[in-house]
Amino acid sequence: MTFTSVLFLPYLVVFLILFYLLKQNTLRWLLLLGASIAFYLNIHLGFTLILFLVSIITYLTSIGIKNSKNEKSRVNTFRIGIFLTILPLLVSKYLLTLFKLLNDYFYFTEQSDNPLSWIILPVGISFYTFMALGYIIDVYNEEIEAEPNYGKLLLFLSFFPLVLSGPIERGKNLLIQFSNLPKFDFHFINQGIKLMIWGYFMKLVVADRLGLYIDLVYSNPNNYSGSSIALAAILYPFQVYADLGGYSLITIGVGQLLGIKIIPNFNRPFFASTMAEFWRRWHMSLINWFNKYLYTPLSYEFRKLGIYGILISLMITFIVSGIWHGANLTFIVWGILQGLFLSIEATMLYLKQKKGTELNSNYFKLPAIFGMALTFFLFAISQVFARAESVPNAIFLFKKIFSNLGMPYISSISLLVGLLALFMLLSYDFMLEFNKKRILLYLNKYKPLKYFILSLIIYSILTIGNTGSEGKFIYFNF
Amino acid sequence: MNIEIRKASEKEVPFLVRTIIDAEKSGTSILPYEKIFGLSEDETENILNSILKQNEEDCELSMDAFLVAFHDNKPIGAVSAWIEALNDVSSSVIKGNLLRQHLSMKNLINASKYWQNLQEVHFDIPVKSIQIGLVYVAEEARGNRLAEKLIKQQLEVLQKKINQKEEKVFVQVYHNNLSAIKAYNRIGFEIIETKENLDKNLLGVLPDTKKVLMQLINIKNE
Amino acid sequence: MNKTEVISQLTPIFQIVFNNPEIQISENLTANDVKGWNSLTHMILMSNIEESFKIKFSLREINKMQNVGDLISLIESKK
Repeated sequence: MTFTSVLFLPYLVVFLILFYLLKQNTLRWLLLLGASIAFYLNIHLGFTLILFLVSIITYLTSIGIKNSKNEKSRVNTFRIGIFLTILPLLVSKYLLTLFKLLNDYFYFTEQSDNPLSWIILPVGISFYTFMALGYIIDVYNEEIEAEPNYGKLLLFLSFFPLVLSGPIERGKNLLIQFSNLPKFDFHFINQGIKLMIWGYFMKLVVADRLGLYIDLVYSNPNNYSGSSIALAAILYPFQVYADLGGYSLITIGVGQLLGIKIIPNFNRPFFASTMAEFWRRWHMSLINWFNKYLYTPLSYEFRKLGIYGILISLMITFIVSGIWHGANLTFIVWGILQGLFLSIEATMLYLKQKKGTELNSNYFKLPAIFGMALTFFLFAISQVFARAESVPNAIFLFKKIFSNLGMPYISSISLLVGLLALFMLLSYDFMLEFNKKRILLYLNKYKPLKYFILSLIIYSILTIGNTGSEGKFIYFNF
Repeated sequence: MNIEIRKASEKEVPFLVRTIIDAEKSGTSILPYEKIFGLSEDETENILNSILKQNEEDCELSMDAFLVAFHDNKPIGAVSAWIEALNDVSSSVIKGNLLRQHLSMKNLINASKYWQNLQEVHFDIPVKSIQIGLVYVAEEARGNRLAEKLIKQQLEVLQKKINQKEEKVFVQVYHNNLSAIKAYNRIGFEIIETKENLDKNLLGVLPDTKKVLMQLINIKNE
Repeated sequence: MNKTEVISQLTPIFQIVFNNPEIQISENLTANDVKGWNSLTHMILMSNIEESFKIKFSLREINKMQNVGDLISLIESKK
């Protein structure tokens, strides 16, 4: 079951009624745990067992760190715990590729009968493993107390709104809330539903419609002109934003229905005027994770190297973040590009600051719109590598854009509908970014108009949206 | 003695650098730049060279602040003076900015531990008054009242620049430099304020931990 | 070393690292108050403070700092 399954909403309603009927906090979080396990069991039994395994390792590690008699055993518990926690992720995500790579050189077997081909990636493992790692590191750094109750820790890692694709929550934020679940408040329901509706709109109308066009072009680039490929490349960042951003809003909305605050994942990323700002607005929970647990320790190690230490740390962080997305060279190239863009920006900023000129977040002293356009353009280029099947394939796409532009293929209803919906999404973001007065239609003070627009959005979700199927979210693959 | 006095040009920069280092040492072997920033004397020379060539206005490290005396086209004396905060930025800020631009972060950080103490022996000069940075006369030219000539000519230039005759004129000297104090005295300067910092931090960093501020009371025309 | 001494030595370091001679240090100052103080410049600032005061910070200590007040008491405890 996923958020777009037919049964999800009825189940959610029943679950909510039960949740608010229960008065005792213990019963309520146990219900949450039961629902979360049922949700994940419904996807795959084996996956659920792996989740249990990771949660048990995480629990034992955190308790072990807390009860260590001396620093040496503390460090050892920490190291072993981290290794065991990340092991299932490494095995399920990278072992197969590693074997294939080695097999290319050493010919253990025929490529066709790979003895590891039974390995599949458990959906959500990249997300809950990172939550578990962050939790263990926080306990080790004494930023949070080790959770004494295994059930609550299991709930933290399996919490159904997050388990499939994040946001990558922190124990600091979520565990406390499980111990103190709020009473029913109509405000929660009102807010939660609004967030969910907008999330479904982003996912089912914007992302899926754009996705149809993008998939078409990417799956068979030979049949399409360079300009069609360019259009697909430009639209892909929007699709990912609407897909993961929509998913995140549904997650946050479901959390809100329960009175639980979940960290945001996006903050209107396309209005960033520098790459650095972009990465503070895009997939924030993942980037914050990398910032805290990888970039900061690296830059600490390299701090004596000044600006060079910063650049090395940036590069390593983004290459690892690329590898996190998948065991494919395309993601490494993607990471290198991000590292490169950010390094260039950081160097320019550093030199400028050293020269003593006025610090400006917009390096080129051009109006912000140019910065936004350049930032988007660079990101879109890097995303071609993320989307393409292979690096040669991505290079082929670029070649085609430059050699054979031709006329774009636009007579696709899906594309037009998607573009219209995208326009709505971006204009909504635009208003939030630049005009806090909320004069926009869907948030209008004039109630009849507001409800009319809301029903229009719901209607578009129901008619245009690909509802009811086991909808695929892009980030289920990561 | 046939002496010609004119504004400094880029050709004289190496000479000016020597006069600055000489004045900073104030008759001792301690060069504050060396200690404060962790530079060698050669590095100090190089950096002062490029700062002077940049010719930022109105501070002790601007080429424009210098008049040079020549004998047979050979520089034998120099004076530096400027109008304090003529463009609303105090000379110490201009000097600080110049150093920030030309020194590496490592050198600047080295200086951070002396900053506070140095502030305590720093005199704030009233805005639009004239401050003399240094006066230098080569050994072979001494005893000709060249210092006096240089100062007077420089005052005329500066007074013309701001269209005012009656301006306050100041000079800061390390207390150990008795010959300089005596020389300024002869021209008409008198000590109006002293500042001292006995923090052990500053020991061996400055030629003297005591500085005096002198003001020109009345020019003696003998 | 007392608080005033730490502040007077810290001030020029902040001014140098962020190249802004107007920065004044106070205990409530946070990264948000200083232009240019971000995750890129933070470690450069820390390593320069280490060098100036001849001390060493652990990563855990750096992570726990909430504002300049925390930084000052940390330096005080190490001097």
